[in-house]
Amino acid sequence: MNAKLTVENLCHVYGENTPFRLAALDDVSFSVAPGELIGIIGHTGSGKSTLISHMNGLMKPTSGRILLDGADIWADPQKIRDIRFRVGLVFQYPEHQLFEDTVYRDIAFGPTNMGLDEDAVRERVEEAMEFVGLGPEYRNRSPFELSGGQKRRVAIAGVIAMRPEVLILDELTAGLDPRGCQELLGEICEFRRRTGCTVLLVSHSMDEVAEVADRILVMNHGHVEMFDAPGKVFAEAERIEAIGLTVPAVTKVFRLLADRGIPVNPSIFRRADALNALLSLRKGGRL
Amino acid sequence: MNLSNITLGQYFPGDSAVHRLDPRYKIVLTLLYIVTLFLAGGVFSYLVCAAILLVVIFLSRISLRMVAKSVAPIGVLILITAVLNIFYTPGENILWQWWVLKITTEGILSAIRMIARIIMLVAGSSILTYTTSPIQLTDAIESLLSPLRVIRVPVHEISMMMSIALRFIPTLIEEADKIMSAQKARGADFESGNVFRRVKAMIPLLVPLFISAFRRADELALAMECRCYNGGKGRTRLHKLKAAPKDHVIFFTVLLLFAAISVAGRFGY
Repeated sequence: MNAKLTVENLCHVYGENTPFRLAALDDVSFSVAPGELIGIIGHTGSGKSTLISHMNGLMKPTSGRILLDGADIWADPQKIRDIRFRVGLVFQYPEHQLFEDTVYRDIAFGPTNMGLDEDAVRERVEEAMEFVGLGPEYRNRSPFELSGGQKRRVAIAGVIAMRPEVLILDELTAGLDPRGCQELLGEICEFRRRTGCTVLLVSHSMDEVAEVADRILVMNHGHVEMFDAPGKVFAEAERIEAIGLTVPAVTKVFRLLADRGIPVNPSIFRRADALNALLSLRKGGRL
Repeated sequence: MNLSNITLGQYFPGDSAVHRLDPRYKIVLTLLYIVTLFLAGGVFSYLVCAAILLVVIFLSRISLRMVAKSVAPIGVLILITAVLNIFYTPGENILWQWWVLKITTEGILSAIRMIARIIMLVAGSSILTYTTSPIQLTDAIESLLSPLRVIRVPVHEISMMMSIALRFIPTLIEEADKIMSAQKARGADFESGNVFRRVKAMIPLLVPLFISAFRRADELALAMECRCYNGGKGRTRLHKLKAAPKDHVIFFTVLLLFAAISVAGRFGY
């Protein structure tokens, strides 16, 4: 299989040989196909953040490997910076990393570090701004006078401008209002559709992941609990709830309906599918 | 570069006799110990000072290795002091001479004395910080400085500022670590290049760090006001410092010991 990104027996131990020893990642293995959108879910402390910090070489595995296009990213430690340009990582609350005096210069930070010339940088910055829905009028504004949602867009554009092959987003929508969440998620999906970029979306919001992900990776105590299509993951609602997570609100409603003997699929997870299912029931006169 | 393994406020939690001693007495005794070190004169008084230090280290159950670790960073200072003392102490008994440099017996003795003094000074004060939590320290300083209130020194405010600063050091380190990771993910390079390049490379770290520090300060001030904080007036404490009779006894015993050493030192013992 031509996987884009493969994680092989990845282990990461914090504080080895101290009383505070903690295995944050314990034998994690999975692989992601090119262009896939993977949702990574897990409760706090399940190892999600540690996992994604390994994917662009910010952290070094205690044991195990990470392969990008089949090549170990740590094959040549001198070239780890190139890996960081290919695997773009947007941290939680990325707006806290803004530092330049204009939006343009902040977004240009990544491409400039890549050693591109001025024209190439400009092209990429303009493209990235368009992807995240920032008009050219924002170019010369200070990022610090923008609203929270716009600041986050600037920060995301700063990573997109490097044209990564894999884009990892940690809690993309944390702290945004519902409309802002929808818009931002839509922009990321559009970006993926147009560039064919592989996307890993880390979240604790089931509803958000359910709407967009091709497959879902469930992390629990540093290991992979499940890795499957959303329908199959949410079909095992008891297992999800046993590790302290919940299924999407839509799935919850449909499970209750199924419990009452109404003939619906209890593992429906997308709002649109749910609506269609209800409408067809009504047409059939069974509701 | 990993910032999380920097130790700051090197407090080592424990329940030894040294840990339990009233922090105000601990501070005063540490200061007096330093004074005694400078009043000590002969071999005898130095040996007693060293013995006291060893007994306190033993009682505190802090390992000698930890104490040695706190002395290590001033190794260079010790070396320079030793060299200066060896070559620049005037004396009669010349052992070796070349050009303007000469080594005398007095020089060697004075160098040994200075080295012993510095090592014991640093080791002694490290015991204070190893066995006293930063909060206890600031509380004790506030209590010790409280007489200055009479001349309108804002003692409470000073100690509150110290506590807040100490409290936020780990938070800021964590924040700096996060921002560094985020900038590294955009290809920032903090580790190579000459001094100027490195200083310039710090800008993407420092600007967000300052902004977040100001934001936190704002939020903290608001939270404090919401809880009706209005300075030290009429404020009571959860953990009131209260010296037990045992603390007084220990304090005065050690005080007498220090006085005896100082007097003996003055007479050249």
